[in-house]
Amino acid sequence: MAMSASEQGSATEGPSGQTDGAHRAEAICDELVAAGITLLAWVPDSETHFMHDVIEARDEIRVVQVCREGEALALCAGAYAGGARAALLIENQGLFDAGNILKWTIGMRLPYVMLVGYLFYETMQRDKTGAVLTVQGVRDVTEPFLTAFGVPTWIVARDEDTRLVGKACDAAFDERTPTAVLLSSADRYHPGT
Amino acid sequence: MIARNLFLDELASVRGPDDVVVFTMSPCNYWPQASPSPLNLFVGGAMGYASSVALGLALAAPERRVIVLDGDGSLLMNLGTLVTLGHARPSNLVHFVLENGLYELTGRVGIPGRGAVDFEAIARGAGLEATTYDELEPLAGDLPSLLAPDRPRLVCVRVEPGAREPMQATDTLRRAPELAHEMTTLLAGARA
Repeated sequence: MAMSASEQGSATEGPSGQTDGAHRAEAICDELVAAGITLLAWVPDSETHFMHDVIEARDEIRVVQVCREGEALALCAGAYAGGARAALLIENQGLFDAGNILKWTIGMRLPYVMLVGYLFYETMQRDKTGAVLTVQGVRDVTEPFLTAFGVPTWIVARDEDTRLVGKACDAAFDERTPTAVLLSSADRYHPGT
Repeated sequence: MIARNLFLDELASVRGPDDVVVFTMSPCNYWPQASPSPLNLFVGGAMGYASSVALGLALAAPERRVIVLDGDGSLLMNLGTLVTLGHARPSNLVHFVLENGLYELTGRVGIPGRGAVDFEAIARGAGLEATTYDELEPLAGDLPSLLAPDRPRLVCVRVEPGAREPMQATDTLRRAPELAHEMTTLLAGARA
């Protein structure tokens, strides 16, 4: 599941060139729509805050809010079984909670695209000394978690990276497997504000 | 209390040829025999998520009736699904929960809240229509109307524990991915 440097979406650079979060969100939605995504299951969270207003305003995609992240994966898999293409929008910590249903959907070859807020990705980028202020384990576990499940994964950390969402969609439905796009915050939303 | 397989027989008798049935756990041995269909989808190894898979199906295929055969232990693992169903309000989904108070397939240990948890009340609190049956005759009589919802519904069926029998490694389990793919192809073809 290793990504080439060009596909990592600047894994080694800071989020330079970051513009309005809504602009990046619209571009991501454009990629989803172009890939035929008509349904999106969602648990709102801080790192994906920049997506919230935009995704709810897009008429092409029906947004279904669920209570827990595992429901989102199951719903997307069921949608594929029913003939639709679906994506989900959650955060990495919630993804960890959904390991079993992720395993099942992979085994059943019911594909969908996971847009996953990458909490503490920026923090990791800013602090290159290794003294990272983070919730224990979040940054260290996110990519290994997806690798352990064999999920093809891309990182979107700049506006220019949004094309990778289309790539993730193509991979999901061509290979009939869930794929993941890790999203760094585009609006630097601070929880509680 | 209702004999589970007698309920499944009644449901099979009214199940339409175009209905999709998503089932999990203890019906896994009997349901495929009672109602063989390419539109059966078994959710095994992902306990708790049958209703969430079914919701995705129902939203993707609004022209289809989607029936869920869930267990009480499974439902407890994903209780938020009732709120999600009440929020999404699919008009083509009926959710049956077979309540025997046990994790029947994994050693018959009682579920938490056995005898106390009231799924009907929880479902109503989540905005769903909900009914409980502990006798077969009224349930069988109501099945046609229960299966014609214009809003999501939970039907609680209080069942006796089934006879102890090994979980069978049938096609339902072994070929689950292929069967799901066949169903997907069938649904897509019917829509084309």
